[in-house]
Amino acid sequence: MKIVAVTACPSGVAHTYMSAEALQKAAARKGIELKVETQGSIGVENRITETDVAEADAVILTNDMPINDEARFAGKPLLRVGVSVAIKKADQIMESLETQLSKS
Amino acid sequence: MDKLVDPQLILFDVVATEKADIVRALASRFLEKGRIDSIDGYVDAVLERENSSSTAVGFSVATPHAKTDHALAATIGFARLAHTVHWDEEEDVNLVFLIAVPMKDAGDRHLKILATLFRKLVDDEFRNTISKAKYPNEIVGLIEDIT
Repeated sequence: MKIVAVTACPSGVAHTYMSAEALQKAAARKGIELKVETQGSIGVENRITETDVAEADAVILTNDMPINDEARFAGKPLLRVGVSVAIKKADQIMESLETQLSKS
Repeated sequence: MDKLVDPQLILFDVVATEKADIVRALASRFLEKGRIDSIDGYVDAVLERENSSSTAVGFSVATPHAKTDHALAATIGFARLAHTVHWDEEEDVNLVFLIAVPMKDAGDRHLKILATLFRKLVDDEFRNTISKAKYPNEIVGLIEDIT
């Protein structure tokens, strides 16, 4: 299973990176391949490419801020979560994605 | 002076009632170590940044910082408080990372330092160590890879 995610937060720093790292760690614990793009004050890092999207089984976007270039994920199973949920409940997010994707 | 942190910039059991006291306690170490040229000038810059939006980020952690001409070298200090303080209307804090970055450093250096620190903060072991460490070197060991 491969997932891509984009994180962004209003302050542009703290929760963007904390949520990115939390998702990354949770994915690693479950052996899920995850690439996280951060849209923070530093700019876009670890940009998700067309190839990444094509290969992805699902997309996670944080919903505290508009995500730039969201259209590239059209047609993919999409989960929107708040950055604070991503930080605190990253393991549950990965579990629920796994469950949902195994059903489809 | 290329390292951002040294053991003398780590304080435990700091007694404070408000954020300015904590920033000032660490800033006096920064001055002693030649990392800033003025306590008042630096502390004012930190508090001004703090007033524009609180740097409390959850997990009882705050990350006050300033990019200012009063900073002579990029620096991270850490203070663990004896008691939590009300950092803003929403958050109580007892773990404080104070960051100083000279104006002449690359435009986003302070943000990159912060970004690395925030990524570390979601690690349970990292938070456990900063809460319970007995020796400054334990904290230094956790953050000395930040550049």
